[in-house]
Amino acid sequence: MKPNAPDSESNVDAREWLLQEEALAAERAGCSDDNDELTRYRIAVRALRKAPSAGLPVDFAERVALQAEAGIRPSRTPVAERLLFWLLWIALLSAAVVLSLGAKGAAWWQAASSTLPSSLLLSPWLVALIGCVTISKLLESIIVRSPGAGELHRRRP
Amino acid sequence: MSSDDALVKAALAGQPRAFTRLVSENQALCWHIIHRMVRDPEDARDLCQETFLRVHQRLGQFRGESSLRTWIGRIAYSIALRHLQRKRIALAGPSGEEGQSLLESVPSDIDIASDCDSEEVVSLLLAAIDTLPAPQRAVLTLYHLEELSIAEIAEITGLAHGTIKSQLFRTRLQLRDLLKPVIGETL
Repeated sequence: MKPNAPDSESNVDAREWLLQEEALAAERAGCSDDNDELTRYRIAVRALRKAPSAGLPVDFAERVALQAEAGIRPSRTPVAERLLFWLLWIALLSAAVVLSLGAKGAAWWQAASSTLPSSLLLSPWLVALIGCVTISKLLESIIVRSPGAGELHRRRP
Repeated sequence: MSSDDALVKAALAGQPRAFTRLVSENQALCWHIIHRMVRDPEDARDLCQETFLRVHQRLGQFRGESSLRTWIGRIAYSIALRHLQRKRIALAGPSGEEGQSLLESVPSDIDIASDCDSEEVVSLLLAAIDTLPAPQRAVLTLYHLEELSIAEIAEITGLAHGTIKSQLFRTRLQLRDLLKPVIGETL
């Protein structure tokens, strides 16, 4: 069932459309004709039916199947874009922290010191832990896993 | 169970070579859509790979409401479209409307009437077709090369039936007009 035809279809001349379809059928069948009008349409259709000269590698299906079964996921965004996204987030967070400390630094520090042991706040291990988690999350979202044997294509920026 | 459902089920079950067969049966469609839209062969190969990785990822979501072919074609089309949008390549013609005049796209120093060789004429027509907006090129390819119906093309592209028919009609009319100086004289 065809949906309500938009106005664009009213631009289609029925007789001319039939002639075009006749030319397409004749071109598919390879039969001859002596009608100039039909011949023009047949050449037009011949161009439209021309397959591209370039193609996929002969082993494309096997290689893609191997990648898919190895769990390679399609990349949504290029590496550069993901890196930029994360750098912007880090910059924004850093700016927010700096501004907060500047505005209410002393008051915040006193409040934090009263609720948490100062040894915890000043602990280099805590800083290192936060840094490691952040970096590992960042690397996880950026690094594209290598497909192993037979990479199908090169990654381009 | 349809052959599509059987193939999808086999691929989901991890049967050997099932997904390979799914890819090989549909890679031509994928290539024709994507290559016609993005034109660069290297980009097209990358995007075809991305398409089938996505197909593999989403295979469990295939419900058989459309054919497997149109389902894969829709994924390929949307990936090509997003690629062009990301590269900020205009999807509409220079006037902002679909289907610029092909007569305007033929270089002024080219005289189709003097190019008697039919293969050269076809090449010139292909060059003219190449100036059309990417979605329109996809429609033309799906109809003439892949021999899909207007309904199937509508499922893949999301375009209205009337729009698709209008694009097919208008383009073929313009190509015919390009050939008026030639046909009847030398071909």
